[in-house]
Amino acid sequence: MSELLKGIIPVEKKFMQPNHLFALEFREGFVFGRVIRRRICQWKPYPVIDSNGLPIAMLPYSAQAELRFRDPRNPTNSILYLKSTTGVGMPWFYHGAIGLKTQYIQAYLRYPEAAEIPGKFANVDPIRPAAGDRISTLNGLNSPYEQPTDFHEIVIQPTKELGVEYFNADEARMHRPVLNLLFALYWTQLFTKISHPRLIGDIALKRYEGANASFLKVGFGDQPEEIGPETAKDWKVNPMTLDEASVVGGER
Amino acid sequence: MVLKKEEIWDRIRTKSVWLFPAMTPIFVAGEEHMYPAALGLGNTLRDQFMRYVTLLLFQGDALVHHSASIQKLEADRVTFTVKFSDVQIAPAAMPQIPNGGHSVEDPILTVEGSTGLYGQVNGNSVNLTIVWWDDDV
Repeated sequence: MSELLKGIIPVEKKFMQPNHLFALEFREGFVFGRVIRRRICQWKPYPVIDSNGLPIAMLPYSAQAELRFRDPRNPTNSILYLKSTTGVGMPWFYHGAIGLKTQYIQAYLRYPEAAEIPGKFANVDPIRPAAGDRISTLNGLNSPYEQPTDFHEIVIQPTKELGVEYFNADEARMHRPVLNLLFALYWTQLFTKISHPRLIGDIALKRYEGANASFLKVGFGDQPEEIGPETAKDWKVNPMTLDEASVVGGER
Repeated sequence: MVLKKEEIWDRIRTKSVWLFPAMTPIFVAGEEHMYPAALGLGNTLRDQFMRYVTLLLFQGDALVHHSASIQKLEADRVTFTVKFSDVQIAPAAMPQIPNGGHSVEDPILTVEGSTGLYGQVNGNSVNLTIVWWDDDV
């Protein structure tokens, strides 16, 4: 990996193990929990396909409108989509990253689909995938095909689709984007003020080494995505701010 | 930024050009990463790029002996600097620069933004094959 990428690390180093604590940040606040079990899911190589299941060929210096990650064996299915809010009764979500090749392909993620693209500088106009804007674009240098990185770290909650637009920056040649989809699917136990007040407070205040939790943000915008009423109900959680969480367990 | 060899492989470009007794552009306006001809900036590379030439292969024409020179058009777009002069090309020979091993990681010549590369031969014409890659694609 190039020297430029110090501080950007391979995403598999950030995957959580069973019994690992986490704090998932939504717009409404943080949801705390731990991983009960996990499954590493990888689709490699994944040639990008359109809604008909045909691999896309990108003409020199051209853009590709937003696509989902469709299953080439059955394009009506999205690979990175969770249909239900829970799996076998447990809250679940995806966490991972995408590596791609060739270097000329620039990818612009949108989560949920049609929403904000990651990596915008705070004081500039929106990123324009159709114009090939080179602002924090995901490419084969910052997230190599063989080793996807957290350059754009992705958390996908249930019932939300991840979309992506592409731009072929090669002025002379056609390219077919090929991806490495590397994700962990976590089945989790979520904490509530009633069930685990002290542990929530410990995580929020980072009271001791064992309370070190992974902080994951849902969405790419200035603000995280909403958890939504259905997921909040099924997950039986009330997201809270870090300040609220800090006092949940009381004084020690 | 440091590129790995595998990353450079993706970027390799090769082309064949005929060099004539008049100064002949090797990279022509309007080609990939070159300024468009309409801007009137000559046969020069766009400013955000750096071009690394890794191989020059001259091909004798099987009839007569030629000599060739490779010259760089500097950023003032007026001055030419000779980089390789008097390269001897026997009728049946295929001299190459570098003479010996070719490595994509070891350029023999760089072309910066706003500069260009030209060639010239005495006699008739000679074919040149050139291999290069650009940074910041």
